[in-house]
Amino acid sequence: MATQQQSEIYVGEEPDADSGVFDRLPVSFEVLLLTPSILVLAVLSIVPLVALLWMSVMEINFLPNHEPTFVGLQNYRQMFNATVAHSWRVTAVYVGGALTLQIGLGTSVAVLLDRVSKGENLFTSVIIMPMMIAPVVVGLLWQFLLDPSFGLYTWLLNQVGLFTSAPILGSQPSALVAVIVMDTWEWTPLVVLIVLAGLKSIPQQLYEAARVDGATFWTEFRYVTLPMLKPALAIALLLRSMDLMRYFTKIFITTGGGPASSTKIIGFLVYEQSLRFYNLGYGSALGIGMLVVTILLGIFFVETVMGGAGDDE
Amino acid sequence: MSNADLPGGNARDGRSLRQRTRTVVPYLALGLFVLWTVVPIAWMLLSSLKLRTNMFQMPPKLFFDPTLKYYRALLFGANPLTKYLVNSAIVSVSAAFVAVSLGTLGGYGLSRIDVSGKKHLAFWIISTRMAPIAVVIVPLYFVYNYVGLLNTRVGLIIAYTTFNLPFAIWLMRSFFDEIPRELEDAARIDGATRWQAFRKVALPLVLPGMGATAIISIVFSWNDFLFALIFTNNQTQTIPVAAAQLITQTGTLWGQVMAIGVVILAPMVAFGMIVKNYLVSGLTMGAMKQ
Repeated sequence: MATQQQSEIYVGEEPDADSGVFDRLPVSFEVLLLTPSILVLAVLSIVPLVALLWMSVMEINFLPNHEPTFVGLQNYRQMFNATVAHSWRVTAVYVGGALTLQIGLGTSVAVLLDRVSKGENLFTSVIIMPMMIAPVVVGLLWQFLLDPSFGLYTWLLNQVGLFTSAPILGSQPSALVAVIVMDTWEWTPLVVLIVLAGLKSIPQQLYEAARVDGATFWTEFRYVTLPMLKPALAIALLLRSMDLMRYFTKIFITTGGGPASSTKIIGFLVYEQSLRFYNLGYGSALGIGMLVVTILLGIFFVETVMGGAGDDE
Repeated sequence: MSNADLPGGNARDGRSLRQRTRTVVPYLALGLFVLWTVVPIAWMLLSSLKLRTNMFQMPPKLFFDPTLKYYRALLFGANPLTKYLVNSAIVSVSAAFVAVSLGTLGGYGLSRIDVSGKKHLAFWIISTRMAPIAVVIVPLYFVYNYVGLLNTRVGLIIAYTTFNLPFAIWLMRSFFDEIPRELEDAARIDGATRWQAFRKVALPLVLPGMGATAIISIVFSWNDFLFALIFTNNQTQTIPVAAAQLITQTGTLWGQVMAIGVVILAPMVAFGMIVKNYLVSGLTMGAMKQ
């Protein structure tokens, strides 16, 4: 786009009594409007971060007359154990599995939707529903659906001879698969909508050109659609991976991290150590580790997949 | 968009049957996806109206005498739900108000500012939203414990600002980006101050966007469970926490759980329909346009 020349010349003749004051301040108007947000965000991100760093080098418990004591890097040294390693493995399977399912299914549905001529509006109205449901309700609902004795989905699976003896949420590896499926049910519609918006922005001439060259549906998809969908897919990947890392409500409700820690993703472990067992120092060190991984993941997606953060026109 | 089903669209040979299959198969596949999406929600609604004798029956009964007793129990029972609904409403609306007012100003500033490193500023703003929930909750809990914000609605509103504000700034920025600066420049030439150009020219054009931002913020806050679980007590509890507590009492009251689920989701689904056209840009914080 054209470079916007901000004329800093003051052109108002008579500054209005109520607002002309903004034009005579030493800082620019934009900075002035940004300031409250930046201050609030700085406080809301820096205060917790400083508190977290401080807690991570302390030994803290909530017993009366127990002042926090400085223990240096002891909490960090404790972090490298089998439990944490297992939790990271579970996280990798959970995030990787859910991303694969959601991106694959979401893209397929969006491509099909783009091909049909009728009913798109009705279809999108229906599929946005799961996204609007509180994760806690999603968890409760799926627990009901998967109950070994009266769950609708358990009954359906039993009809084809599956899970007749083992409860789905109470055995491995089905519990982990189940929480992945829950998230897929809830959030695939978002991927559908994002990819659909991406498809609509592909110029039709590209397809016409491909057809002149005699492209089949598959070659068209492979060489025209997919490359053009890259930005949309990158956004979907980034949003979903961040949320999968950040939240654990459905796991909290349905499996509580079990059976045998098979669904205990790292965020849940941090929560459990800090706020259930009150190992605040150890939990905070785990949290710092998690923060580092999340930031690296974010940077990786933004830099490699999207090629730079956001677009300035 | 596609013209596969127009005669001569892109079929090269074998007209009728292949054409018809090409038209029908996508509809069938999409129908399956709709079924997969809707069945759990329909099941929840049906189960919330079933008497216990029917609720746990397999194969499922689709026709039965409906009852409203679970809804009645929720509203007029020993622990009426009204209190939690009010808490949820107060907290969600206040949190949305904070996010939209700050986010509109910040979004305008971010949209119009010309500094090197603007990208980095924008990325820092959004990175505050990427922090894992547990990593935010633990230190906030500790800080709240000191300053006396535990178990208060204000504490919860502040906690929700951590995820609502970055989202609101990015989204409002994307709305302002679509408004040509020339409109404001013209107003300036006519003698308007910077503030007037913002308030009288740019702001009216983004009102629908502000509404969408407010509604999506409300949905985020209303649906939150983890913050509310840690930062509230029985007096300030919100409705998702109340729902989860139906599980831990002596045995699960499935009828009431299904009913409270319907109560929690109904207003949000209605909101979703209202902002449907903004939903994609909303949930992608302005990165995708519809």
